[in-house]
Amino acid sequence: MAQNASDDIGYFLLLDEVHKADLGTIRVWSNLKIAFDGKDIWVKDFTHQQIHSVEVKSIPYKTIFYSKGAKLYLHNSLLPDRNIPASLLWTQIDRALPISLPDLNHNYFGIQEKISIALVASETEAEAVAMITSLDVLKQYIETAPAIRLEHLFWTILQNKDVLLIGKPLLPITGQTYWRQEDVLLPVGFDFDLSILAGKLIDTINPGRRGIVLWNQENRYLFIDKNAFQPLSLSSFRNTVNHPLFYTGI
Amino acid sequence: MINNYFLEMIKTLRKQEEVVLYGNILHVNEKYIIAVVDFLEQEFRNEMLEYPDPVAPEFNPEAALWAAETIYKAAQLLLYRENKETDLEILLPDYKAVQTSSTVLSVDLCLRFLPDILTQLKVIDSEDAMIGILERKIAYWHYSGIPYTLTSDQLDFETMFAERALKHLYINRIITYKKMDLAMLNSCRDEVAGHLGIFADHFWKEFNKEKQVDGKY
Repeated sequence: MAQNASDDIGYFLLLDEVHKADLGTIRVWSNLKIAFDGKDIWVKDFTHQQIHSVEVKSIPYKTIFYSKGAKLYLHNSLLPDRNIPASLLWTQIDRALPISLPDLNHNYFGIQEKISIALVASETEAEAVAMITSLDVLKQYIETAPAIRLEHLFWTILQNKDVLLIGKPLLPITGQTYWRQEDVLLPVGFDFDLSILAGKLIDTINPGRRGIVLWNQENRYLFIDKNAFQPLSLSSFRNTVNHPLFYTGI
Repeated sequence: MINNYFLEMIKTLRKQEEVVLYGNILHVNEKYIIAVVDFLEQEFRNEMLEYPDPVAPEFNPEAALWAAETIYKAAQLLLYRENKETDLEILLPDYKAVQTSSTVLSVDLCLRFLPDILTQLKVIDSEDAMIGILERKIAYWHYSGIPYTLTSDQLDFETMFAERALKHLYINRIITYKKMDLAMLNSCRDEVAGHLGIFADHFWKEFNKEKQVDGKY
């Protein structure tokens, strides 16, 4: 089988030791080999694509050679520049350039620092399981609703005018919908900015999971006791709005 | 000491859905009837909170009392049978008022428990003459008889479905008891499908399957 002509060409990169840190961007290419020759750093085994990539082009003060036979030619040159450096010790680039983490500052506690909790638009799809609607809208629907649609739903009244419904499937009425993350209801399409901290946050504001936390888009939350929810039915609705302690003019 | 056995029986039936009988007393004393009617009216008002229309129907004392007496006597006759078969018709008279939401729902307060008594009767003796008599009542007031399997050609849907709200309740009950034979009737099928909406598969899988086998939808 004929050999691919381009395979014979190897690419070499020469860099002064001072600029060693600039190799960080190509360190992830595990096919590369690296060798140290006094104050020079040699990198070899680039593929054709790698040598023409932005990562390599953006390394300053480099010299690129290509090899043919035992000679090295400067990039874009037809005259041999030097021999391939012999007797070098080639190692994997990620072994030769280890990562060092900054030392831990034992005197730093970060007590003063605070993080702010915010909601951001989220890409992850989540099913809506709760909705806020007004008493009027619910009244319109519920008076003629099939009983089966009201089963499995729980409801409570917020601030004497809005209704919070929880359960699946939701009713076909207009309203703001929410999805549920454990015991927190978040507006659909939104998630915590620092979603990894959600569990910690819920434990802080809802210890023992006694209630439902309703988070709104203005970044405020409402704590609702779980006992406040009642199964939704026409009689439950009528008993509530006709109750003497409940004046909304409905 | 309990005096009003009739009231006590109806009360435990309504509250605990159990039948407690206090001896073989088929005759109901006139003076105890008022208390029963009052109790049933209260129960009726509570149930009308679920009526799917802002204007609830009136309580019909005559219809409710008939149903209460029927269920009381049927329970008595189920346990203590000392009468001849010919007496049964006299003990269990028919009641044929026009089916309006008022009469149907008043009757239903007590008559809804008749299917269970019928099932018991059939277990004891499937040849019992009482079964036919009671089935006739439940075929007429068939809103109460939805859980019981009746032959559909006996049932009159025209008057039953004349009122929108009553029809709505009827369909609700078909779905609650998942009565496929009723749901597949021409008079009911579209309504049942409408109630289930796009969640038919979630609420009642079998109905959705039948509906699609039929190919009409």
